Amino acid sequence: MAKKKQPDRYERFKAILTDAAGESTADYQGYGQFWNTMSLDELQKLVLFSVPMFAPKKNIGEEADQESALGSDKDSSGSSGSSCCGSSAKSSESDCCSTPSDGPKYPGRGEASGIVIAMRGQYPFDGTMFPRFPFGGSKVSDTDIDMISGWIDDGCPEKDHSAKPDDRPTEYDGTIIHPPHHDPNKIHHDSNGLKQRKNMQYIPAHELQNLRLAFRKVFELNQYPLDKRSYHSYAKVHGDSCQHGWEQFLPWHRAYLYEFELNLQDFVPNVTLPYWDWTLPQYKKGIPQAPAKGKSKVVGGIIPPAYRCWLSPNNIKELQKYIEENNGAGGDITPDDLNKIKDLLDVLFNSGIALRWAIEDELGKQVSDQLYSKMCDLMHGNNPLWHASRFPGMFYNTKGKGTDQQYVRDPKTNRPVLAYDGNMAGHFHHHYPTKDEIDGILETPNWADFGGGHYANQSFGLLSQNPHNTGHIWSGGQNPYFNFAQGETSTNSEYGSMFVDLVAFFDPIAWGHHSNVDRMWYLWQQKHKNAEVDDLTAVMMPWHYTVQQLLDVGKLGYEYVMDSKYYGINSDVPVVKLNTKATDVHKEVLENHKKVEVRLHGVRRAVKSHFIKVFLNAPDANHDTPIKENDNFVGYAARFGHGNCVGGPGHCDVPELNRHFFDNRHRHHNTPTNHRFDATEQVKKLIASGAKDIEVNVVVMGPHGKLAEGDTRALMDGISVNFFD
Amino acid sequence: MSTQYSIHPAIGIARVGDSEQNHFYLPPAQLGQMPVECDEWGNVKTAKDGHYPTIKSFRDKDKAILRQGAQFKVYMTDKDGNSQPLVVKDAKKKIKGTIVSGATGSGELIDIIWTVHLANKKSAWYDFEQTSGEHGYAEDHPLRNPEITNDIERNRLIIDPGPQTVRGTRQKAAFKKGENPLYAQTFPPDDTKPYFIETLGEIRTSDSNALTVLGGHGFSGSINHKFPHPLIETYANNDGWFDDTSDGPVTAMLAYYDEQDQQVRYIRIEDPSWVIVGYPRYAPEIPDLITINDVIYDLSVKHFAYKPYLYGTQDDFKEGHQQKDVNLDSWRIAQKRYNPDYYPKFYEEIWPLISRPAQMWNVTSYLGQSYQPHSTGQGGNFYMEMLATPPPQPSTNGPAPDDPNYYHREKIFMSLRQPGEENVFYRHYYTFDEFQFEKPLMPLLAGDNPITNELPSKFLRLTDTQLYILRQWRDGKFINEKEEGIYHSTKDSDMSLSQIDQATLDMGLGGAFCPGGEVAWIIRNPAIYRKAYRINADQKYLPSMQTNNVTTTPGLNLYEAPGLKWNNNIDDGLQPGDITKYSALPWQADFNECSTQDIDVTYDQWNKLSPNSAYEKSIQTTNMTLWWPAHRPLQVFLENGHQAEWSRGIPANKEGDYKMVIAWKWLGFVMSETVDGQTKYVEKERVTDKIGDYETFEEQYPQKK
Repeated sequence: MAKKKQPDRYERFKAILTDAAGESTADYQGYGQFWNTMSLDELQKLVLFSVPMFAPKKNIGEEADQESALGSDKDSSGSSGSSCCGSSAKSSESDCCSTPSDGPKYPGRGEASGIVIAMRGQYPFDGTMFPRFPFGGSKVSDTDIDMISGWIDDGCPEKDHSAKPDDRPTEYDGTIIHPPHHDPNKIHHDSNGLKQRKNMQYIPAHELQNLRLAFRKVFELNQYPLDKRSYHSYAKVHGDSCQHGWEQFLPWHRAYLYEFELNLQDFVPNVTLPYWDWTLPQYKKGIPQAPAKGKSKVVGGIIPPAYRCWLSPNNIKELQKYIEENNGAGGDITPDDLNKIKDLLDVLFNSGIALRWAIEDELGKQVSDQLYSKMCDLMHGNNPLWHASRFPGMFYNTKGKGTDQQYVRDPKTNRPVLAYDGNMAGHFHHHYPTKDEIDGILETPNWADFGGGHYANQSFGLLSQNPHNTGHIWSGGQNPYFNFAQGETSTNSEYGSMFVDLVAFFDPIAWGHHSNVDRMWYLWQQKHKNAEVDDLTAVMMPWHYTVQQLLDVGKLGYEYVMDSKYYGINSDVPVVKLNTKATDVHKEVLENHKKVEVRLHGVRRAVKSHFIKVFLNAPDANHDTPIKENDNFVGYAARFGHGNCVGGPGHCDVPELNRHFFDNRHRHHNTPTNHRFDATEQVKKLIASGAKDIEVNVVVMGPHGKLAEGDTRALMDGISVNFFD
Repeated sequence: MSTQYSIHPAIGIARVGDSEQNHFYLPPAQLGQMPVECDEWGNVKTAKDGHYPTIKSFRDKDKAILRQGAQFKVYMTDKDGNSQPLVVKDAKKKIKGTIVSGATGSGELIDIIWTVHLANKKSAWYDFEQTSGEHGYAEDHPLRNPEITNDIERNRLIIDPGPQTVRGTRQKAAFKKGENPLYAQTFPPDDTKPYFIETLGEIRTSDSNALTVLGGHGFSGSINHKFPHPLIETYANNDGWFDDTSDGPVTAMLAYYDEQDQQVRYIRIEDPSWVIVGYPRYAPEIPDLITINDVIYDLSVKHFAYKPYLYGTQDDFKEGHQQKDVNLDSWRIAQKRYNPDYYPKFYEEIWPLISRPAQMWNVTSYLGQSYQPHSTGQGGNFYMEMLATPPPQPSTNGPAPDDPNYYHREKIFMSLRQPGEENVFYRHYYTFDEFQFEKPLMPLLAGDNPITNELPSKFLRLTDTQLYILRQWRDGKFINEKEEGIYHSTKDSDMSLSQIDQATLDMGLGGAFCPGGEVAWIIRNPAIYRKAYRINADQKYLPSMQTNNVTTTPGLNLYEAPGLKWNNNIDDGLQPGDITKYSALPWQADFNECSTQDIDVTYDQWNKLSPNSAYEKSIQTTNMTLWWPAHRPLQVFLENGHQAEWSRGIPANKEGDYKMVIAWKWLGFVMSETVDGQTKYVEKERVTDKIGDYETFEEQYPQKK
């Protein structure tokens, strides 16, 4: 099998269209380069210009595939329905597998698909209504279109199996599983599983993209003042009803985040609200630095990269156009000047002010308010998680009184001078807490001291005060362009949004901040299982949730993980031995997590009892690999077979995981199960002994201690590795 | 499909001018542009960027209005659909002629032989009485000049100078009294007052054998001299009067030299074009709300399978049929509809239409009284950015989730008068939009019969196709060419044949037809067309190959001219003069009166009432409504920034109508000027020493220094 492998057709499909599109900025009704931005599932559902881009799948292939669940009473060999190999063959590369139908799964689907018609320039993409795809780009060669058409005929597989026309594996036997491209939360969404709120610092790019998409969608609704799904509607709820400084602080915000997160999921199903772990060391570097030092890109405080702003080369073009079209908009800055700030492009800045000042320093000219306002529009377009009225770590000395009041300014730059310098201990304590401080708070044994007390005892709650309040104040900061003489108006505000609880959630960073606050409570709940929360029947206005209903985040459908990886498995194909690719999580996740859990998802009940052993970094693990004194061994699941089916046809079919709400019958006897293995110790040891990453190895064994065969093989949906902090 | 030869534009518009000079200009190449500058033979110097030069003035050195020539060229379309104008061999300039192929051979094109026949049948035709007659004249429908009762005398009322033929370059011929010795001409007497008519115009050929047709000089006169005549008594029918507008077919034959046979052979071009001579377009850059092109496009789409993928059968939509794929006979009886999945292009099909209302600001002060001033600026209801962006997914059932601008589009669409609402001033029932409740429907312009309550059609509405395009747009089914990176502005020299056909008709008035501008309601009657955009000419009046069907030399004879008839059957095809005969006589009468109209809006359901009943009358309500401000400006901006009546000095009454017969040539033209990036439309070239002007307040009462 040493054939030189071409990239998968799916990858080639994307590359071909991207190349052909070239410089084109075609918008495709707002979807942009949909072939790159959409998941394969979304793509196949896309209808553009009322033309389905992918024709529906019409063939017998589909149904045949789904009948192969283990435990169906068809025949005792239990082999997959699509297999020609029977139970004896083990290898997916086995020679006997060349016989299945050679033709495409859905013949004709490619040519009937809008995307092929559009690339070929056939009606209505023949110029009568639309030009051919890609709009404004070059023509895709017929050979390439034929390849794409064939790929669609084959059902748009994400991966091509290089060996045979139909070489879907008939058995996992040492097969390597790659992490899927899409968000693990999608799997949890499809199976009603828990969704994971992750650490904002380590969130993968495509998940961040989805999050931004969801925010963009609710921001767009702001134009409809009566639409409660809009971002502003949610942000206003905080100012109207928020609870701080007493026992309802934590439950109220848990409900708030729960509501908002579900709202986001209505637009982009898999997103969750990642948390901003204040304790990470990278946020503390150089905080705060005086802006007077000139070209420093750090002005004020550091916030997680996901919340920062930047200008792209395209933005520069738009700004140049804007200056040209709006006389005087650029102030001293000419369109040509903007060509000189290449070094600042695509650089993440902690605040818009920092970027503004960096441009001024670079050019030696002032950025006019009008130009900055246009930049803000563009930057908000780049990143909806960024907020213009956010001045992290920026507080200034003032002088004078009343309308004469003003900032103390640096004589050279005329910029306000920070009220503290160099070290963290200045006038304020507006800073990121350390891990120790957080641990200290989490040790607080009672609810009143930790989260806040009852009316009667007036306890503010340690968490609520610092870090919660300080985080707000610190990330809000003070506006260096505030005009004291004019006084507070909607466009002239002395403080950033986060500074004031009325408007705090107009800044999207508030969600990350509060996600972490909520996580603190979740961690505290785990540490202090017996600590009592007061007044469990209190209702969180304006919703209907009681404190009692909000205690268990599991019941609210989410959990907190530092990061996780999910490896999807074709649940129609039996597993004997399986190796995953390494997790490829961030180095810091590997080093700094507190706990690791390996999970097996949706494991089908087998006809015969069997064992599933889980190892780490042991690709050669086998049925006889020792499990004692083996640092690579994580654990095993001993699984009870249910025996041959005694019912009629369909009796043992694996049930849909999405049972509907009113289905009150007891659980189906063949409901797939999940298994969790704590791998914290093993990972720690492996890393101590030099491992750079971890991979999971699964070995399935029959009751007699040999590798599984036939009925004793396992069927499952996937494997995940979850890191917690 | 083999190689095809065709003349374009299919219908050309010339305009009268009182200038006796050799100079003239050509119509604007594209909607919204100024007319094209040319030399006295119709040669245009195309700029390097592909655009044609435009004129700076409509007047000659004696301040007389220049005529607009309608220019025609012969194009060849190959089997792949690529078109190019034919080139005639010129041995002196060493220009090679296009190789053309006829029925029996092929060879180098050596000449184009043009024949044009103009006529004016207005005085011989029926009275214009609003909408009555559009679907056939009643037996008792009155004729113009009713005292003439026999056909021979009535034919004598036709102004018919006969056909004229030219060949070669820089040639000319005139439709003038005495200039056609082979023909029995008919002209009105030469003592009509205040002007007499001795020509309907002329034809000239350019250096590249393009043909230009020039019309008359705007002369109108009456045979009645006895006091109180000459007199204008009605807006459309004045007995004893003649004017020098006209229309007729434009045909061409190609002469090529067949090397094989060593002889000249001829190809007759299948379909003639048609030329219509109208009056000057005083605001040429501002389009009418509905243009002649909009009307012909609508009927071509519905009756001639012009775009079957837009309007056609389910199969047409599925297969993307073009005009050529359709058998018209079976198509006509098949079940058809507008394609629900057609995506119009915003900058090509939508913006040119919805940006028109805002331009009316420049030709009427009426919008200043409005509560919704059609503003295209930010915050205005026609703000382009708001209307230009389609949602990701369309919705025919209220707004889609990602469609914040749906409401803005819906607001415009809901305010449009729909089919059947021609007599509805405003809707009395609650619509989704409270805003539109009891507000006038749009366009708030006079309809085809706002004058009487018999067969009324009081208000103008957009064509079915226009409404359909805007409905698609409302639903979010449209494409923004700029956002998709597929927008190309068209160079004048690169326009396709259908663009050439359409652009020239976009300068003409497409409604209301009462009777109208260049043409009346006859233009929307499918019976006068042979195919999309092509008038069905009566073959008896076209030159033909008399010898035999192999088209050998000499082969070309002047046809036996049968003479024009006043009462020919529309089914035989149109004779020269058969389009303009429906228009007002003289044109100046209707032109002057079509400024505003007080429309009786007491009832909506006029066609179900007995308006002449003496009982149960409600209190009469009227609304002062505009006719066609872009075609006949009402109030205009002067160069000093003031606004004034455009026709100041000519009142909207019968005395004014008569004065217009003389004074039309002194009125100003509304032209754009761009200062500091701001485009303004300003009245210029009014001949104030003839017709005077208001003094401004400052001039009357100068401030003492």
